[in-house]
Amino acid sequence: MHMYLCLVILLKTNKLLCLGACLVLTSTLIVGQDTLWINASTWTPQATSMPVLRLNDAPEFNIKNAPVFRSANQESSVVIVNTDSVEHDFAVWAEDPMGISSIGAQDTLDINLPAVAAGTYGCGLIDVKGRWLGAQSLFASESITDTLPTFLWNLAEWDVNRMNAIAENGDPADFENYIPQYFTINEAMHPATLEDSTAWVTLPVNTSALIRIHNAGAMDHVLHFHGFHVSILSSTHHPERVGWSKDTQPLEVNEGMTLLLHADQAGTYPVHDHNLIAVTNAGLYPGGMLTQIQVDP
Amino acid sequence: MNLLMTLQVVGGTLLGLYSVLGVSKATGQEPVVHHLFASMEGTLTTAGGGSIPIWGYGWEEDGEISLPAPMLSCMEGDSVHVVMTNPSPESHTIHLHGLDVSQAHDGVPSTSFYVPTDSTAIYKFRADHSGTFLYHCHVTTTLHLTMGMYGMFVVNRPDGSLYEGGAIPDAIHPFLFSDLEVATNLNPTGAFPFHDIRPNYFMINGLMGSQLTTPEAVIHYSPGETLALRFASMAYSRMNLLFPAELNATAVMSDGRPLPEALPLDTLKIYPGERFTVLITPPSMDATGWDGTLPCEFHMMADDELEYTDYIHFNDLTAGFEEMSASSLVAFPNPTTGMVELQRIVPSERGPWQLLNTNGQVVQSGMATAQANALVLDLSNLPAGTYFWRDEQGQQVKILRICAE
Repeated sequence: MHMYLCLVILLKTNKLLCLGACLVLTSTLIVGQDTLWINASTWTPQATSMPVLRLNDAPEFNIKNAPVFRSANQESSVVIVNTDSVEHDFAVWAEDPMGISSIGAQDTLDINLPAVAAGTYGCGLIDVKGRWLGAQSLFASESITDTLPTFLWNLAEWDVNRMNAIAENGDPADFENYIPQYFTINEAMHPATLEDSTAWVTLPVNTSALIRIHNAGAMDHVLHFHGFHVSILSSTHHPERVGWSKDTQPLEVNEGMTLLLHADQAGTYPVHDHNLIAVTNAGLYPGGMLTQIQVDP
Repeated sequence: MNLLMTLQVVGGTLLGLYSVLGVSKATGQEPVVHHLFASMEGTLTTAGGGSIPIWGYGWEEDGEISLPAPMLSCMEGDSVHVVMTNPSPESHTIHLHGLDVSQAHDGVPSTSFYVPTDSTAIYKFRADHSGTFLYHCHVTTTLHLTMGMYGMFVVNRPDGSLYEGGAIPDAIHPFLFSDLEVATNLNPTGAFPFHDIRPNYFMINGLMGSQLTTPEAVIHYSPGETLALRFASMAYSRMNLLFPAELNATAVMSDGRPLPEALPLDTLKIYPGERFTVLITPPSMDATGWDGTLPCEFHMMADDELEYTDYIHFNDLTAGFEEMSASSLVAFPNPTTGMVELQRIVPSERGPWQLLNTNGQVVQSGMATAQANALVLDLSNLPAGTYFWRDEQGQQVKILRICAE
């Protein structure tokens, strides 16, 4: 695996955090996936199809990008398998990329990942095709004290015409207007967001949860929480906002953010982009970047 | 079908039925009650004198809607009932944006209830936090908002402070940013697809361009005052507010919560649905040459393109005047709860005078006789606030600030 000796092995599934049985040997953690695959396919959310790229944690194509987990403040590595027919550039980023690695077509590369403070970041492909076709995900840098239930929202929007053109080696600068038709959380549009246990927040009343968010889109998004204010624990683009309590929280392009939700009232409450063009699917309301917080009594 | 929907269908009207659902954290005090109605028949008058169809809310007693809808307010800790009657042909709701109300009163049709045609409903909550909030329809929200169904909700504190331990400004001014796409408002049934709404009218408090320069829209101030500006956005655009350095702008609240530390500002981005409270101390225009404007840019969310720039206009009440020093004319007692005596009037200050409020309106006027050394003013019938006594004898125009409590 890596050169580290294990203290704790944290195995992440979509929602489940399993604290494995451990031997206290050193103070080093190994967290998360050791291999990621760059997979190409097409996506047909409704009537129209578009070419897409994804960062998956298995050789098979999955429409959802795999979130990447690592321990805070520790260097690590990951093996990237590029199954696509062109070279791609991979990075982890806060405001800017922290080192860029190129992976040739059909090639495999062992990449060192940077040590970053606890928080939520972005990772994935930053070349034109890789970015615009959607192989960007959420990078969770976890503290050993992060024991709360954690939900993960990778935001994006999709302009079918632009994606088709870029797949044919078009230049994004050739487009005057950016008019996305689809808006997603974890590459799913409402109501499919409610079938994703990492997007649909469920928790008992008077308990708390972490919500990690990354904006993998090419435009800013602004999430409005019904029923609750959330506290900002980390932000890659607005560290001055750490400690703020907000019900409407913007995320700039490439921004990663960790929010603390304390669910002090029971009920079901929407969370949605308050740029209201983004709560539609191909122009039809409701849809898009819309999920829910369900607080059980 | 949930309980609320059942009540709605069976009862026909929801008025009075929600008491069974309770109000979270209710105190038992008499609630503050606002009576609104919804309508799909209103017009917005543009700066050029044209009319654009709007939907919206209005005070039920007035029978007219406005854009933005009436500003609702209460005091921190109040129980609030917003009663909404809907005589319009479509269902509507009220979402109390940022007030963290219970699911039952959240105004989202799928999780709470619709208010159908010819029905009335009550939205109940307790205002636990002072600050700036919004309300809007949550039915087919993308359309109903661009049609104009939104307004501000402000929660104040009895002592005038913005929040517990926060500043007590000399004046508070609300600003609601919004925009609309004219083609949608002219033909709302043909508004699809919603993902490509591109606004082409940009408003501050429902006003645009030259409408923002009228005396009622301009912010009148005296140098040295601290003004709190409550900003809220229901726009489809992102706002960029460009604060001139002379304003010493600092953000102190956002989304109805105080910031851990005041944030000095030169540019403030405000996204759809966000709110900020910003303190400014506008300077003397004479001394600094500041032009009295605060530029407010509207940027397209999808591509960040600058769509329009409008301006909040300020008027320095002392511009062109000489503010009196303590060594000459004085007012006693100041602040006052009623009567105030202006003392040490010198011959050059005798003659016609005016008393102005902070909007620049003359609220009293009179004549200081040639022999008068003092002048008694009665402010007991005036609202609490800051007033300016202005002597306009010849070219010696002077101004004195008086505070009524």
